[in-house]
Amino acid sequence: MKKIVLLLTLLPALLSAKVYTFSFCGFYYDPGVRDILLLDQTLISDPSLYPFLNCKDARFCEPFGNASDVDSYDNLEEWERYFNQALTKDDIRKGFYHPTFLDFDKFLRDYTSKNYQPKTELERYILKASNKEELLHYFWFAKKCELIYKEKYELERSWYQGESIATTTEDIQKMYQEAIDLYSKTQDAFLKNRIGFQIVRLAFELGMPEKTNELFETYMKYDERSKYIYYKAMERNATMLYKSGNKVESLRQFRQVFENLQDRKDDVFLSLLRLPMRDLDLSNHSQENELLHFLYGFYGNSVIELEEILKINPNSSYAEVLAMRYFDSLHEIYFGGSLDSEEEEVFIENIANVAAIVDNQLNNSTVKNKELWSIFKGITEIVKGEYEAATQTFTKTYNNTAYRNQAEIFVYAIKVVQLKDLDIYAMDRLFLELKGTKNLYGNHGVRGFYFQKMAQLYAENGQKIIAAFLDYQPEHYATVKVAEGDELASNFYASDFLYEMHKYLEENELLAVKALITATSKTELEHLIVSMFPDDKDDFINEMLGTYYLRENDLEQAISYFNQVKDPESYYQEGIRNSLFSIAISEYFNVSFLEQSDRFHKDYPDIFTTPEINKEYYKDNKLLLAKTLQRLENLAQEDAVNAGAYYYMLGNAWYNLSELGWFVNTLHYLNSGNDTRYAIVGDDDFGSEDGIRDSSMLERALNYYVKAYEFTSDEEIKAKAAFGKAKSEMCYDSSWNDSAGQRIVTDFCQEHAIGFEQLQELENTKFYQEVINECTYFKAYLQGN
Amino acid sequence: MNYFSKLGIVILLLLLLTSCSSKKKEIFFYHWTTDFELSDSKKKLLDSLDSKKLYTKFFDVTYSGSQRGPLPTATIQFEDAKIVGNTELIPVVYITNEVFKEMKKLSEAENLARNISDKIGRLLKRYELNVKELQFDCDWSMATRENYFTFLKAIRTQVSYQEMGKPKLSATIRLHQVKYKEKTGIPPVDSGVIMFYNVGEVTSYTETNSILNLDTVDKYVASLAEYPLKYDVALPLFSWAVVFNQGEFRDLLADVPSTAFNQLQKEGNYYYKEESGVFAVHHYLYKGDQMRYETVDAQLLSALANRIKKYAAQDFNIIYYHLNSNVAAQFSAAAIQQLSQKF
Repeated sequence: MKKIVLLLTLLPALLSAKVYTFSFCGFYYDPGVRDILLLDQTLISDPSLYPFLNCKDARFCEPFGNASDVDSYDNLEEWERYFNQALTKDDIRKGFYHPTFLDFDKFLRDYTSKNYQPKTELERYILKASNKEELLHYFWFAKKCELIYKEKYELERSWYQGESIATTTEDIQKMYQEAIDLYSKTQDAFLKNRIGFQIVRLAFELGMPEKTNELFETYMKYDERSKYIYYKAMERNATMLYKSGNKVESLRQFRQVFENLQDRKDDVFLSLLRLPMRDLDLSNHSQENELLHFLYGFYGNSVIELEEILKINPNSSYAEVLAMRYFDSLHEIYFGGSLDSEEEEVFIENIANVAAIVDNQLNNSTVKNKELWSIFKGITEIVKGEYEAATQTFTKTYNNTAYRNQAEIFVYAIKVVQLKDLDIYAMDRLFLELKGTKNLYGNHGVRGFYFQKMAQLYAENGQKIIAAFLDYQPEHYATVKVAEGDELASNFYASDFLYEMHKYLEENELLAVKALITATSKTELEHLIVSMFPDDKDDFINEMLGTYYLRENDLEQAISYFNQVKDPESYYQEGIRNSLFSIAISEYFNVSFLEQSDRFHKDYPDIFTTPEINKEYYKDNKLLLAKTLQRLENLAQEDAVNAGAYYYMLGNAWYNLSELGWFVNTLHYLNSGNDTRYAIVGDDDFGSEDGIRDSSMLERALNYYVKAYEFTSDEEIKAKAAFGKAKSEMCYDSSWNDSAGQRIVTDFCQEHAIGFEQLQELENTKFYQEVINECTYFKAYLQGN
Repeated sequence: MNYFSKLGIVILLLLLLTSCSSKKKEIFFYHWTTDFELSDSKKKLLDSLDSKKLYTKFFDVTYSGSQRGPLPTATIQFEDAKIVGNTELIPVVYITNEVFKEMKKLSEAENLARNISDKIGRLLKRYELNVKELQFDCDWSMATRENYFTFLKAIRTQVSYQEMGKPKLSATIRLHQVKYKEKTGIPPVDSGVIMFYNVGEVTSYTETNSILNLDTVDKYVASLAEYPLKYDVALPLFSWAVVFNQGEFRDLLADVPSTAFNQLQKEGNYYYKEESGVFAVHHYLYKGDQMRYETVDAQLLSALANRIKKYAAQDFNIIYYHLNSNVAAQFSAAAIQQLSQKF
């Protein structure tokens, strides 16, 4: 599966300078979250609703507003204005939010000292302010109120140890009284509102609904300078209004908070979700009704609620969000080619309804943002397979540049989606169109979609290697907008291929790649594909072909391709580990193979002329390996007397080179330790499809052991071959570990039993004794028999 | 008869005259547990004795290595401070000598004064209490004298102290501080409380009763006559078990009921269990642990009274340590009254 992250375009035209920047769904993105990203969800009219757009793995596209690490942008901005810009937001953040209550407490107590050095800009400001005392006491108190929610346990390691401050109801009650006193002593209207908020909040924490409502009315005064804190108090009041039974007013206030405080939108939403209001008569409260339907549509059936909202307000911003969420999912399902899951069927079933809604909107003269609804119309036509109609819809005149660009993307996507065959020229035409159109080429979503489709076409035609190389994974996920100077080729990374190259060793595929590399005439797309292969393209493909044929035991072909590798040092080293032609009864990870092997190959110095190499991850020379295998094969056929020994060595080689052998890296391109192929399917939790033997090397090893057993008259070799046969057989024995951790085998499968039986017949051999000493399995077999 | 012998007679006569004319001793108590507890029986005891003051430990101050400075622990917790009624509550703060030992400069003593005064102030405010006296309990030494006395002086300069209504200050004084007053100094407070307990070597295996060892008292008590600061006297009404193993001090088990020892073996001055196991519900004794049970009784306290009376050159009141101990519960109001008047 291609992994293309859905990132939504930030359209500066739709954003006011300071208002809320859209945070991408993938802010903490997980590559592969979105496969398709053709629709720009930020086409909706109200940027403050961006967080409610469709996010694959998150409820909200975080964050709401320009929230900093400690507080909302709006709140900091209010303070900034209060300080007449003498302090920056950062000064306020560092001055108020970073210090603890204890820091403020110390400030309050120390500031009168002549030697006191202000520690923050905020402290410096306060000390010079004409209302120093008021500011100081307000901040100290506000910090104390924060103890209700955090830091209170730090007090236990301070001079406040054992002085319950913000833990019990009684503590909060005292703080509430303290707040009332502070309010009456404070003159500054801005600070009074801030203290008013603390009063309301404390009453809220004390769970006093009516009292909270009363205090809100008494202590909170709306003014532009204190808008943020006013609405924050209102939010708590709204909850308490609900608890007092005044649900409509509660909803009305929640709506006001929702509309006025960006960073509280999600919390208001969650509050409303928990406070049932379905049964309210909202006939005279259209705005509240609209918000509720948005809420229910966001969490429930978006189409039904969309219809309800549009009945109230055809120009509703909320309706645009619900529609956008629906169409975003729909286009992803459609262009991602996954129309068959149950969940997605719901979308398809709704198409007719949604198409009707869209038509109504387009036919409604009061609807202002018809171009958006027209985009939606085009998508419904695409999904219904009406490509011609869709193209017409998208090619009509769009006055808004953003919508025009979006329409152009869908016109192009329609062309791409219609490609059904590996028509390299048609594919190339679309590639050229992509490259030649700024709006398309400058968009990672469009690029990703095109290459995803091309990869799919190659894969469907059996060219998985090329498909793997067309895996478009842009490195810069901050935006779908392609950065200036971006090199197209740098966005591809064939990770699937590079981590599991052995899975791509298919003759036809390799030959197709070779043909593509060597072709004298190539399309632009093919040039791009070839450019993504390693620089030594010929050596790269010849080495793979050689490896393929070597694994297939077609040694003639293997030698031929390895001989064509001009720079073999890039692929393998000079010699081979001769010990791979010997066998080890047990293989311990902390002992070198040579040491634990029977060193059988040492008896044939004429064949193994290169120095002994004793390294675990040595890259064996594949050409020399192929030649050595070929020589042994020939010797076995030519020298009947010693044929058993040669076959035995061939059996050893193929066992050791197989996915179960010590030399697995040689023919598997292993570059990762996380290889699960040792697990056989169903054998344990790690078993997976990948655990299936991926080559016929083990069967080949078995055949050679059989031949060795038959051809040799040497009882030692016979015993070794019998053991090799049992070792190469993949069948299940019934076994478990006893309480002492000893493996108990109760029932040996037939193939193992035959090999062991043959070995048992050779009990006078030296090898037999070695097996008894080292192989607990065999010992268990003997005990059971 | 030389000049000094004559003077001795004069002083002795004065002492006798003072004793004869001494007024009835007022009886007060210490409250030393973190959770403030004043049961009906204790209230009744206080009423019967017409006890007007309750010296209440508000918190301890110890040196915190991790914080590199002094910090409070075991801050008192009142469920309802109003139950004190008419009894005057006197906050007591125990400060370990280490706190003053670790100070590098005098300003640290001043900071400590502010922190302690502020904390007392906050607690008084929180529990709506008014006080007329603050008491500090510290076993200061010659080496820490300057820091401690700076601290005591600095208390009076604190804003929070002023806000409390400038209560008078008192400090506890150990017997060695009485005897060696030239070296350890006289604390700059309004009055002292001379402690007649914890006089022995509690960690010594050969000690017989470290709470009140009259032999030890005898070495110090004569100095009382010359102590210039006005003082009251603090007397023990508590017990503990001192645990040793192989002669090495291991632990102090506070306020163990005397009946708990009935189930143990005894050898000499020490109790032990033959096998490891739970002792007196809350404690665990290992095999080989030996316990020395230390306590006081009316007889011992009477003997102490004789000694103090002999040397005390001023009227004093008595503060018993402490109200909530098992030993205090064994004394009736009348017994305490009777005992107290022997001083």
